[in-house]
Amino acid sequence: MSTFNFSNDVKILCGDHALDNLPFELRTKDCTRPLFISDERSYRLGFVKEVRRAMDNDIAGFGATYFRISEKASCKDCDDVVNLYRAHDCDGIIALGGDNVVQVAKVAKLMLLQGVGDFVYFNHKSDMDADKNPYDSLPLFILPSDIPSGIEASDRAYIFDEKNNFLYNFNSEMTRATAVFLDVRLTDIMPAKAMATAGLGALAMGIKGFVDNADNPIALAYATGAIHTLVNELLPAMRHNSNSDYRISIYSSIIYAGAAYYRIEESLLRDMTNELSIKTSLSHLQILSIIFPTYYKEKVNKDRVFKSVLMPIVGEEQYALTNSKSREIVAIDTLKEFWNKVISLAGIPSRLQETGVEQGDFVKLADAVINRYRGTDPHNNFTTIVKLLEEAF
Amino acid sequence: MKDGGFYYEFENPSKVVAGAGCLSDAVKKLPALGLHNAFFMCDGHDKDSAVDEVLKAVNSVKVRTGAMYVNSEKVVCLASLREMRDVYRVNNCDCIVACGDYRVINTAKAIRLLLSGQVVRFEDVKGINVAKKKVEIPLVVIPTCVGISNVVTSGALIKDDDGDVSECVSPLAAPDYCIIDPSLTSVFDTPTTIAGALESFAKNIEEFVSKQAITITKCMNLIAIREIRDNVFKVVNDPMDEHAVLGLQRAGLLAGVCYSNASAGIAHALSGALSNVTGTDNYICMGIVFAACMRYNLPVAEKDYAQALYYIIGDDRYAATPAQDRARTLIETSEKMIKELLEENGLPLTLSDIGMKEEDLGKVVDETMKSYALVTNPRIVTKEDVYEILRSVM
Repeated sequence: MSTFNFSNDVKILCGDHALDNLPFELRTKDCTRPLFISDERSYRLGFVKEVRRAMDNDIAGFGATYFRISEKASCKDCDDVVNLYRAHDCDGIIALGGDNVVQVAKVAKLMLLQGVGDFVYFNHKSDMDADKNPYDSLPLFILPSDIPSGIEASDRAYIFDEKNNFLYNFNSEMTRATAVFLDVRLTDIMPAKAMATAGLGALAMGIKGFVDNADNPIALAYATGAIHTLVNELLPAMRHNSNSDYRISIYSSIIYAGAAYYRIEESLLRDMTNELSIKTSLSHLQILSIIFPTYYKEKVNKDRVFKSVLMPIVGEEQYALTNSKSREIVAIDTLKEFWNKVISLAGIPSRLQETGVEQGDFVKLADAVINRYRGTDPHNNFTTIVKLLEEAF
Repeated sequence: MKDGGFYYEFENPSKVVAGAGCLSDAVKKLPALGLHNAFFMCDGHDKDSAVDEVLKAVNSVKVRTGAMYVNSEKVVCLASLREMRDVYRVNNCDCIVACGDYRVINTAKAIRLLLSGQVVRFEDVKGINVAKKKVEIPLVVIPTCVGISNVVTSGALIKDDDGDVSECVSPLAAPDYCIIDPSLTSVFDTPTTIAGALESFAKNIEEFVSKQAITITKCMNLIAIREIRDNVFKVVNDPMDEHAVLGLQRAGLLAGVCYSNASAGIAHALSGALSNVTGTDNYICMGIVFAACMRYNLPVAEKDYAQALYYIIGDDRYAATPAQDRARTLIETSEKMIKELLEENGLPLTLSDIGMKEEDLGKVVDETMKSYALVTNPRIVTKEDVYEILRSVM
């Protein structure tokens, strides 16, 4: 008997003029003194000004502003945001920027709801009360101004502690955004390379989210929609990268793919991606775009659901015409062909060796992954990880 | 793809827990949601009934029953809501737990809307996003019927003092927590199954072709249509088949999520109006008009209908059906399925069967034209169009 639970009340506002709805959404949540955080890049590109403009005439203003989130979200950023929030008696957070700002905002929200004094406290607190009364909620509005990472509408957040070389992984409803705004005015023309990398990374999240959420119809729909859009629109979006509708469509697919992917409790793929991301300083999506073809080739025989992935990839017509016994193979081949086409068109790395990883790193990497992995699948062991790394190399 | 002009919103505010036997685990979360003294709503309370089981489970996690309200109204009226509001306050309740069919859930959403917005006048809640939250009133819904889609929608129907029914749309109407346990719905009669399946089938098709549909809602609709195809006759033949019951409930749930985001279309508007005017159950009205409404939308929804056909007839028949015939085949297959379900159970198939006469049509047409659902119908609907559809099913 299939059972499922689903909780994702993040509102997605997407497209032209989405930002104009920010004052309304703030009012709905009785948020009158939001802390507005961002980074230097968003400030420089004028996105901060766009948000200020959208807020004009609607509410008194911001409780406080902070536009110095560092390029790599740090523990200190979280502390700074929390302290500022408390000092100015704010009642919500508006986070404008890339993944760095989003991660800081999510963790700051968690710290504030948990009543945590500073980030170091998390070192000593292993029993976070994930089910603490959700009505103590703190509205968090996320405004991506870069390619989204997929974390935006999820319950996850990551902060890398450079001092201790440790990646904090938070999985709590208290990191959840109230709403995500994808507005054309906050996006810039994206080079085809960046679009290709993010698109393939998102496709990897979508496929993983599809396979691992087969019994959850809502998460399955998120993954299905993301796969369908990415397969059909990524190449045109790369070719016509000034077209804002394509851009927004791909960005929203990344968010939906992430919502399905990050709700998977334990994932070797995610743990491998995290470790490789720390090692190479590449983004999660960049790493996924490189290692996923190897991962699914290795895993596919154990996933009976995989053949169903063919449906969102090729559509009903082709799916119906494909012999049911060969759908798995056709899905793999079609994906491979698509992956190669995107990679060759954009000229992005397809092997780990192109990212600065060396074969000598594999043992250490596999050790770190296995230490992080909390799943129970016996096949996900040290040897498997090393094998996957070698094949992706 | 054109450049610019693209915009949508999507949200699903309710937390859903579903699965056979999930009730006992799911209720353990209730105290953490701030529930202590519940205003318990149901459609009747007999010993050993599903409602009794829910009540025991809720009480076992130290959530008291502050007051109990048995609902029997199809669409709750303002007088009942005022009465419930007083009972809620007098008994110091701090949350609402609703267990039962679509009527109970509708009433629970309506009273939640009024209480959390501290609404005094009906005008302060009627329409779209009118009420504003002032007090936190957690709402938990536990459906005991298959396929009902209103469990997670952000709207409630309320009958005003003049007897007019209005839809109140607001996130305040959406439940916080929805527990779907097929073991609570394993004993019911066939018409209830048909009602649930029909409603959610029609809703999913209408949402799929809605002007406001987006990729995510369309994917949900297709998953739901497949669930209905796979499970409806199984449940009719064996109401104890929990796996099939859960399948239908999933379909209803998906229809509900999509309804809040994509809205519906002419069949929803027309069946609602017919039901209000004649007092006939909504699902019967839907069964009578649905195929005619699909035919009406065919010129603008052909591509979508053709795609949806796959999820009804499966691989071989889909591949064998010429592309140009698929949309029409969907309508014919849907019509056949609905007719089969209604006919086998002695339910009405035409407007004449429910006592409608030519002279009654005007009121139904006027009522239909007031519906929000017409705004998202893929084809612009005129009064004459509605007359024509109604006459075709006389």
